[in-house]
This record gives sequence, structure tokens and C-alpha cells, in this order.
Amino acid sequence: MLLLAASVLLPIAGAAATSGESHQTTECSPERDLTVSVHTASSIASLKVNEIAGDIPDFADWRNGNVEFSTTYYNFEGAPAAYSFDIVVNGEYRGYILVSATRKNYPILEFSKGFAPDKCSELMTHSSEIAGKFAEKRGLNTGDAELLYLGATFYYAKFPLADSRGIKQDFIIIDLTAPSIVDESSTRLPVTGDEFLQQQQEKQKEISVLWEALDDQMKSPDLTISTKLVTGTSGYINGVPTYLWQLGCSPTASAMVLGYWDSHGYPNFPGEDPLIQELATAMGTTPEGSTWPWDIDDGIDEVCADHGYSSMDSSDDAWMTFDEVKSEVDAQRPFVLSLWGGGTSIGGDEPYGDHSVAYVGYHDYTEDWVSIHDTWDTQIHNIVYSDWLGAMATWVRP
Amino acid sequence: MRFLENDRTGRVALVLLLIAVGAFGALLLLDLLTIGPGYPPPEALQKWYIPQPRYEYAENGSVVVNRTIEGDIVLLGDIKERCSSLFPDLSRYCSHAVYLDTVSSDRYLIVNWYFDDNADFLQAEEVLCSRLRSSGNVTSAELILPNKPDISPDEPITGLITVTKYESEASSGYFVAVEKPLSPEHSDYFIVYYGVLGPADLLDHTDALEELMLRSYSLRGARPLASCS
Repeated sequence: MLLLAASVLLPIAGAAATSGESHQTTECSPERDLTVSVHTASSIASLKVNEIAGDIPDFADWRNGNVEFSTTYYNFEGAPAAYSFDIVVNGEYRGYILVSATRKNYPILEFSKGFAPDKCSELMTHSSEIAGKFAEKRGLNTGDAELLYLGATFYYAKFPLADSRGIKQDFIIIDLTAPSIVDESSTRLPVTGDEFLQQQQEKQKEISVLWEALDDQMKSPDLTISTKLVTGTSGYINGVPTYLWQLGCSPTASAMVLGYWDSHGYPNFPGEDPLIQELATAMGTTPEGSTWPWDIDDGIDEVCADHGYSSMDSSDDAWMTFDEVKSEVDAQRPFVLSLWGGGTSIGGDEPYGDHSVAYVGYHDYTEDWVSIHDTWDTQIHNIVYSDWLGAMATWVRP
Repeated sequence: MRFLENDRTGRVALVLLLIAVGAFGALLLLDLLTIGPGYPPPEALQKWYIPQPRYEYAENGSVVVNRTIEGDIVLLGDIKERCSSLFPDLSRYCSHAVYLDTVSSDRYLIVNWYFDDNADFLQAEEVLCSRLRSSGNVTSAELILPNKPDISPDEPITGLITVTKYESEASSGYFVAVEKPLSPEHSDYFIVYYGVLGPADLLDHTDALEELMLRSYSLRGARPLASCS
């Protein structure tokens, strides 16, 4: 299995894994320098912190927060990979945001109200101790650690090992989150295979578009202009919950869609478990978890009516088009997508087969993608549009 | 006349045969067209009970990770798709994750062992109990899990679950075993550990661990480790 499955993770890791090759290209050709300066990253962080505060209620307290440069993370080859900025509001630490140090990766890599591993003194101390013991056994000393970021959640510290004369002999890498010694070779992601490389190329196109949109946004006198409007190439719906599989994929996916409406003006729906149970019953899901696809909309309608939302209209569409899909997302209406012979998500390794998912976004690039919650984890997955034998949309419209 | 009767019988038989073939074909088609179950693969089930971070869209459409699980508790690093070094490697489908209370700096560990075979599951329980007894204090305990915040008020509370309590210098916490939680039709078995890392008074951390349990997949039907009782 790939180390990472989320759509956000693969391109990040891929960029990290291929950075050595790209670095050489940059040195030998007049290509545009893809490095992002700390100054630029700081401006991006400031902009994004306010966007996040406005978009996500849990982060509303970040509004007008100051961003303070914390540290630089590097890739295996020693090139800057990401800059970490502390979010400070009224003098108090409120979290961090990680901005890419290269335009080969998504501009914003992570944000959290917690602490980046380098801020967690206990972890850093423990890592240093592990490295120190390892060095001691070999009669060496450890030097100052270089922090590595090899993709979302992959934080490491690289300690140089020097002899008594101070001459570097080797190095050791500690997984900051374990903490434990890691084998460098095992942390590299597979970058061979035409399909993977093609995915990376497609991702790179998307990343380039996002950076160009961000450039426009940064130049704009009105920084509130959304990059989404500037690019017009992708759409997404925030706030669709991610439920794990229960009783069947169709009731679980349908529950995610109704869970979205529960927090968007239709609050009478029950919580996750009872909602999935009600939907499974209403759409006649078998004990094995299979559902007759033309019963999905009827089941949703029945559950909506049971909770006082008879006006909610659910309907099947076995002839959906990408334009319809886009307009549904642009209208902020998630829906159920049922696949026959569904392919593998980008970065995944398990084909979906006959499976229902909640549809939450699209990417309208050279190759069209759809973004889904697949009931198998909490990540947002992308699958190439039409990478299935057949598909049916179940629109859910208030 | 006999010839004609035979001919008529043959025609009836042929019609019945065609109807049977048609019905069989229709049933086959219906079966082929049903959606699901879409069952999660073992690679997903190996971290099924580990509370996962949320993935959200930033304004520019890129996906960002929100590691806050609940309140002050955040996921530290990633979910490791391997067993924790603190406990035996009971299954090839094993994951663990560490969580940090950003206020108290306490660290919590959740380990998820997944089995698709009942015999392996039962054997793993025995091995685990034996190891736990040799490395710490093992008793039984009862926990009352409050309602999930998103469950409507008229829903019954998750209620009382009996668990295996484990206390040691390295980690203290609660083990549960869960059989077929996704579907009675599918053979899935889990052993899950919710614990605090380092020497600690477990009672001081039970609220936080219960919170993590609530953020896990449903523990309905969970029981203590059979071999430890």
C-alpha cells in the first residue's frame, strides 16, 4: 500500500521525492526559479490565515492573527520544502500554518491549532536523545538537526554524525512524531511507473494553476478576491462530513450528503449512526450492504420526509454530464455518486468497484477529476471523471 | 396424435425454459446492477478505530489537514501503518497514532489491530493478555461513554462498556475487543487500545481517553479481552 493515500499527500510527497531531479534541471536551464522566499511565504500565510478564519468556524479566532516565521523544513536533498509560521493573536500562540517553499507543491500544506513537531520540546528532546545514543554507540557525536518535511504528516529530523575532529561521517534520521530512528530508504515513495508519473504531471498542472491564481490574488488590490473565482477551474464544497462505512456504502454516502444539509439549514436530521440506519432501512439495503441504485433517491426522500423536509427532492440521473456535476458543486449541493466498476482513486491502490460515494468537488483541467468522500477514511479522494464502467448521480436538492 | 401431444409438451417445456432463462438473466442483471456493499479494504480497516484528522478545502481549492480531533487534543504526526513498539505485533493489519493534549502536553496512544479471521483474533487475544500480564497490571473496568455530541437527545446513550484495564510505566489505558462491528455478515475483528503514554494515574486521563473513544468508530458491542478476564 502506498504510504499516503490522500490526494493532498501524493503530490506533496511526489514533489519531495522528485525534488533532486528537478533541482538539477533548475540549475542547468533558464527555467523559472520555483523557490518561494520566506518573505513571499509570509505574505501568503497572512492572506490565508484570514481566509481560513473566515471560512472555517473553528478557526474564527485566527482573524487578524499575526504570522511569525518559525522554521524552515527541508527535503532529503537539503532544499527548502516548507516554511512553518506561528499564528499569534493578541500575543498568544494559536496554531501554525505550513507554506510550501517551492512552487512544485501546493501553496498551503497544513494548518492546525496544535503544534508543529519542531514546537513540541518533548519530541525534540526525545529525538535528540535517540540520535545521541545512536551516535554514542558508534563513537560519534551529533550535530545540529535539520528538520525535514517529506509530505503531509512526514516530519523528520536529520542529525549529522561527526567524529571527534568534527568531521561529518554520516547522518541519522529520526521520525519526529514517533520518535524513532527511520530507514531513509523506506521513507522514499515509489516514483516509478508511468501511471504514477502521469498523476504527478497532472497534479503539477493543478499546482501551477493554483500558484498562478495565488499570484493574481497577491497582486490584486482587493485581496478578498477568491482564487477560485480567478481560476474558475475547480469547485468544492466544504462542510460535508466524512462518515466511515456502516451498513452499506449507499446509506453511508447518502448520510454524508444529509449530514451536510443538517448543518446548512436543515437541522432535524439525527446524528451519524441513526441517520445511516434510517437510510439503510428506507432504501432497502441488504444485510450484506448492497443497495438497488434506483432505491437510493426514494430512501433519501423518505428519510427527509420523516424529519419534516418533504420539500427536499432527491432524483436519479444515470446520464449525468461533467457540466451538470460542476454546476451542482458550484451550487454547493453535494450528491451521491454510485459507480459500477469504479476505478482507483488517484494515489489509491484499491479500485472502488460497485460503490457509492459522496461527491464534494471537481477539477476541470486537461483531465477532469471528481473529489469524493469514499466511506473508507476521512480523506478527500480524487478520481478521474469517467474512470468507471457506469455511474449514476443521485441529486439531493432542497 | 401422440406426435402432436409430444410436440405440444415440447413447446410448453421450451416456453418454460425460456421463462426460466429470462428470469435467471433478469436476476443476474439485477444482482450486477446493485451497488455495494463497497466494503472497506483491509488497509482501511487496519486504522478503523483510530480517530482520523479532517481534510478540508482551503479557499484556493487545495486540501489542508486539520489535526484537531476534539478540543485541545490534536493528532501528532501521522497515523502509522504499523504496530506500536509498546505492544506485540499481533496482526499484519495494525496501525497506531499518538495524540497530544496541547494544554497539558499529555500524549495518548491508540493502537488498532484488525483481523479477518476469528481464530487469529482469539489467538491474538491470548498472546496479548499474556504479554500484558508480564509487563504490567491487568484488571477489568467499566466505562460509561456519554452520548456523541452529534446524536439527537432522544437517542440512547452509548452506555456502559466493560474493558480491560492495563497499567504500566510505559503506558496505561484500556483495551477493547470488537467483533463484526461493520456488519454481522462480514468477518471483521478488532482489538483497540486507548492509553496514555508514560507513567501516569490512569484515572486522571480517563475523560480524555473516553473522548477519543467517542471520536472512534462505534464501540457498540465492545467487550474486554476474553483471555484477560
